[in-house]
Amino acid sequence: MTHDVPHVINPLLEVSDFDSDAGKPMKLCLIPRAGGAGEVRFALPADYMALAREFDGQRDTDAAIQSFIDKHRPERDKSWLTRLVTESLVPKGIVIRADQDPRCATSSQSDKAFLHVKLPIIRSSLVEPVARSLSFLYRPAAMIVGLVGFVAMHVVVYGFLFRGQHFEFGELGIASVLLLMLISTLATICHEFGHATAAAHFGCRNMTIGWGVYLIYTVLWTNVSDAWKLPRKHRAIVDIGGVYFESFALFALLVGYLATNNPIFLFGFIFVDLSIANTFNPFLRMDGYWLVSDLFGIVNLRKQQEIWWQDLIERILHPRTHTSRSTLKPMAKRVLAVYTILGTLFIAYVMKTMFVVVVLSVLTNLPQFANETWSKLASDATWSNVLHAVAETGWRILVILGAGFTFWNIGKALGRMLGRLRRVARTAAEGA
Amino acid sequence: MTNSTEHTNESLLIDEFEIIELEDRLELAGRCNGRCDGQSKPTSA
Repeated sequence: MTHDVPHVINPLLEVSDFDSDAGKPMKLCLIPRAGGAGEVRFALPADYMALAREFDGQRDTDAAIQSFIDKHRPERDKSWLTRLVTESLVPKGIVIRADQDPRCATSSQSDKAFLHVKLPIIRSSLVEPVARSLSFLYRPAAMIVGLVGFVAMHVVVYGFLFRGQHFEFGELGIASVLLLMLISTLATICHEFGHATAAAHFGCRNMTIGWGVYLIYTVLWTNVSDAWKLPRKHRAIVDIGGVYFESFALFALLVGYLATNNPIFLFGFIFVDLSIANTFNPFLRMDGYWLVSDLFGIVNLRKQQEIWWQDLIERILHPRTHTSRSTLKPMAKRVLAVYTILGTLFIAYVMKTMFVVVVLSVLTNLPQFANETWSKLASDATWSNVLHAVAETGWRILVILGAGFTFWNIGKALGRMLGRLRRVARTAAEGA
Repeated sequence: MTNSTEHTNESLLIDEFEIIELEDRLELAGRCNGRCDGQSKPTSA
């Protein structure tokens, strides 16, 4: 950018207040992506918007910044503000050349976000009418009824119906397993519509539902990125909306059991309940992750963990001159510290479990399994035995590939993070 | 902050000017894959 070219604040910029626990007021900026596919969202200190508005398409950069300084007397000097404009506001498309296409934002995130595979299956044009028609379920009275019903169902199931029942997964036939998979999938679809409906209730748009692979799990997902514009308490309702709607599936299973006395419905109830418990794990990017992020106002929680590590290294190397990189308030910093330490322990636990299951169990028993399976097929090659062998071999291959893939990804991420931490340490040492 | 910090934080979606690119909000829910993740196997009451 030269100082001769007039610039202008992006005319397609949508600006709203941004609710977070940052130490200063923040604004949310939404800019259409280059090519027209979706938007990119930035959160930035509110006073930057006053600077951006000085770009009127007439003045050059120098004059616009000088006008901002004259009006607002900012703490930062002119050279810093010039760098802010040229190195951040212009590349991000918040301020653009007067003759530039305003649909110009580019994202530094992968199109697949944090998923290995990401396939949209229900377009927003289908999701939104359904979500809007169900949004009455997010009126306070309906939610209170839902909460009471949720508690009552669990008292009935675990207090009365589940007593004396004996369940063994291994005893289920193929038809029951397929029925459980169907129940699980339908409950998950309810879950995703719960998120979409909560978002629609608060006026969000462009919710898409899809299928994907996260770590080694197949998942359904709902894109509720538009919910960033909501206050934190509304974002938290969007986060728990999935479980709220999944409880309707629980209710259907309970009714199914009471009507037929078939234990598969009770089994399905417990499976859906276990998946609900799993979804609150805050260390995977499930509902619990977004809930922690929104309740405590820590934006990009996973990324903030690395900033916490960078701060820790600098504090150790330069305890006297260290200044924090984090812009969070003290309370949010404490939450982040606890989350980071517990999250690190969780990842260590997952890796240890995977090592025990995959390396010490599946891999070491593989020769024995192959021998036994081959002997069985050689002596009695019925369709049933062949199918059983294929299924048993298939899940072992999936577990080994999944664990290998996960170890590889965690290793790569750790390598990148250590590289960045080393650069921080080197920079700190040079500055000392 | 130095320029190297800018590089450091680029991949963190946060630049040295405290401008944050918000991550895509994908609300995930896992589903049963047939073995239903093994560890979620219920035992007898």
